[in-house]
Amino acid sequence: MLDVPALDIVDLSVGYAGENGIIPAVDRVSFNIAAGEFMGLAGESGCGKSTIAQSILRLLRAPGIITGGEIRIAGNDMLSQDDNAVRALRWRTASIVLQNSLTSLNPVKRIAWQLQEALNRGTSAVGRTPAELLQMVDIDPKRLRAYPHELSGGQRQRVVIAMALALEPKLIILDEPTTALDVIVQQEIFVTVKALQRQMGFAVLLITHDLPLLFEVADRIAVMRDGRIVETAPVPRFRQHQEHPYSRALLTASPKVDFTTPSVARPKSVAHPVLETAHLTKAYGTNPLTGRSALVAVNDVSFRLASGEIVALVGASGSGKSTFGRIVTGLTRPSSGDVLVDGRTPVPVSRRRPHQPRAAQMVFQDVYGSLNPLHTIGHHLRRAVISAPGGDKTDVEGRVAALLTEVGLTPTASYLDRRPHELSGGQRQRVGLARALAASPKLLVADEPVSMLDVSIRRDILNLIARLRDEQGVAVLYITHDVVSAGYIADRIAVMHRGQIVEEGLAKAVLANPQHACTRQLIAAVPGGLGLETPNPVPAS
Amino acid sequence: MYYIAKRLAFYVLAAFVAITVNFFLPRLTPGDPASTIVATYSTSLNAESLAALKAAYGLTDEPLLQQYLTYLGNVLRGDFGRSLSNFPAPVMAVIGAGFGWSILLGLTSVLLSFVLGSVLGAIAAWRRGGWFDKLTPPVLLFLGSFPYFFLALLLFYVFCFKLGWFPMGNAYSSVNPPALNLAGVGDILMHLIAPAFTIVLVSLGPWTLNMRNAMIGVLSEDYLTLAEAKGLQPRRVLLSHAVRTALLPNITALGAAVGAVFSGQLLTEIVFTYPGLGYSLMRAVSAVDYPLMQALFLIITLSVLAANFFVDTLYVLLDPRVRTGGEA
Repeated sequence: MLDVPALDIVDLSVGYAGENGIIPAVDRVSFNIAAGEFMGLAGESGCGKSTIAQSILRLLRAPGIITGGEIRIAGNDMLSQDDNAVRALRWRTASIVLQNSLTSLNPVKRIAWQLQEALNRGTSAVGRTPAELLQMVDIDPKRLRAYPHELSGGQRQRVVIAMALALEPKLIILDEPTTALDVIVQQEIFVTVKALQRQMGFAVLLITHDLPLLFEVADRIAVMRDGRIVETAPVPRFRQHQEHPYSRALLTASPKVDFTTPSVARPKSVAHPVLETAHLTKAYGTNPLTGRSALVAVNDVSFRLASGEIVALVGASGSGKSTFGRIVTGLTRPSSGDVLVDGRTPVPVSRRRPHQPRAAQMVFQDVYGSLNPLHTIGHHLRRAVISAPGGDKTDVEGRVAALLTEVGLTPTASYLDRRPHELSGGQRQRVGLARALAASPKLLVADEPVSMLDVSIRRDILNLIARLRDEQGVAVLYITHDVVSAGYIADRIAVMHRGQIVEEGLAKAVLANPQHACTRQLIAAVPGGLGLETPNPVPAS
Repeated sequence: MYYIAKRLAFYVLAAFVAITVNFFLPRLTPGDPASTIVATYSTSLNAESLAALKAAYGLTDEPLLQQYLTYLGNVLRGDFGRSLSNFPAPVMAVIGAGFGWSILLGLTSVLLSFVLGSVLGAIAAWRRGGWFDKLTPPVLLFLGSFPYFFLALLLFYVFCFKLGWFPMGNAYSSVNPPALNLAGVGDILMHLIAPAFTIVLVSLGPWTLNMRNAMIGVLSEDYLTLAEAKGLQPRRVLLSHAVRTALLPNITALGAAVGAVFSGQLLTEIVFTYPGLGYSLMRAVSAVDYPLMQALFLIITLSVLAANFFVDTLYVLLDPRVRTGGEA
């Protein structure tokens, strides 16, 4: 039985039916996973890796069609059998964990009910209880009666993993399970998964864009591009040498911290800082009688940012860093304390008058949601230029073209009439930057501007932000949970924890010699460590 | 519990506002009917008769605030004065007779269209793009675009008058309400079918469309993919996961629908001479029976409020996410 691979895929081809016939998404892909092996499938968005994940359990919905090949899970043919037979095999032979932990669980059912539903699919031989499943993934069985929204993102994903293990399948497919979570939670979840794997012996197919993560957890790596697997290799060999140029490109694309040159303190503009906050506090759910608050998102933060400076505000999810960014841009009003942007208090959008200067502009994380899909790129930018305070409004087109050139979208004419869905994620974020620059801001607030983008273009966008700072002197508040990109781009790093800034200093100094436990935890959770040039000796399991 | 208490406080306040408006509105309009009637008789009657007439109509010279307090007390005791068209029967007795029939017709038609619409919508979404999905929404919207009274007249003409399948009006055949035995209930049902069917036909469209759209949204959620991946039977995926969550928006609409059906029901009752509140209201209007009208307005408003409160409470039971108090 040990000889039967947990998963065997031979010449799998999958396409999506469109108006002009079937567009191939996966092209004659073959690979197998041995029993108990941890396999990583790496690639960028659109390469077909999630399509493979869906095909394995035959979950692909129209217009997706499996056009050829064979899939066997632990010897069971998944493609030639009828729907009822396949349904009986699902979850018992292989289970899947999806990316979005928030929507993976039914919002109106208690988790005990949902775990029991999975257990009911099995024979009584397995004989686990929902409480045992929760204990397996280190969640207090007292939470059995909780609803999904009462758990954190990490806890929800643990519940789904527990559910995936309910019937002790031979294979678990993890489709970007931690992409929406911060690095600390990601690390904790994989520690649990690896421990359970040692104990129960299931095989794992981890689908991700994060090669350093695979180096830490996987036994073998397959790299995918445009529907094909370009390279498959055991992790130790892959780390030393990548056969395919694309694998190399993918690996070197991720930003790294260069410790060879120390951070230099920028000459601070003495006149006045671009951003200054004093005892800034934002509390939610404050009881007017007792004065006690349900949540203090930002707690007594005093912070300065000089013009032309890039400061990274780093913290785990829920640390209050995004709330801070929203206060700075005037999207949220503080409960108490002062905030001055370019010497003025930020005005809420609803009360802003047409020609009031807008010193701070926001760059958003969600490149798909932050541009109205109905309008062209030209429309978005023209609107931003026209509504910008001051300046010359006679040559709107010229200004729009100049903005597009600044963010590297040339020739500009070819972008004006396109709509957001015709652009890649990276191009959309460039449009987002151009839109923010239209008002000639003194400060850009960039809240996780690259976390939704593919690894290979993250560095380009970060470089663009750095260049805009150099050329235009705009200061940047870069909000992120990713200390590596913070170290890559920022002059200074401020670490936020539970609403307070617990550590602040020159970027590389903070990363090389972290003082606060929280900073150390954020750094330690980064897969592969801070710099890949000097790889930490990771025990290959 | 805190959430329900908060909602209850809101509805009590709304009811109080409704009662207050109901008191002041007629008194703000110049020339109220009672004084008009009194004025016409003022020359032909002697002082004593005039005083008796004024007392009967509740015309006093007390200050408005005093009257308001008296009125509030009367409302709380369920005393709405005497009906003018059925003098000297108390208004409450007249309303009481119609109230039961209106509730029967209203509940039957709202629940029927809710259940039918949700089922149709769920099927349409589950087999999205199939012939059922293509046919159902336009047909139902076409029916829904008819005014209540028009469709009611049409159905009345065809089924009650021409074909004679259903009785031509009233809620029962005998002079007095029948006993609640098999024959009696059957008789009541026969009288109920035609008006209820009219209301269901007109109001079915939105239920179906809302359910279909909610279902389509839910069907693309990850937990449905996961439910399928778990190897559950399709029927279980549909009922326990998709319908269970897609039903929530329709339940919210239930509260609003009660109000809408009430107004449509008035017209339907009139066409089918169904002895409910709508029919009473029509008679009250034609007889210029102000006390009755005023009480009817109030009862209808309070019923809609009560139905909405019921739906809010139901929602708390069905959606755990609102129990935290709306912040999350």
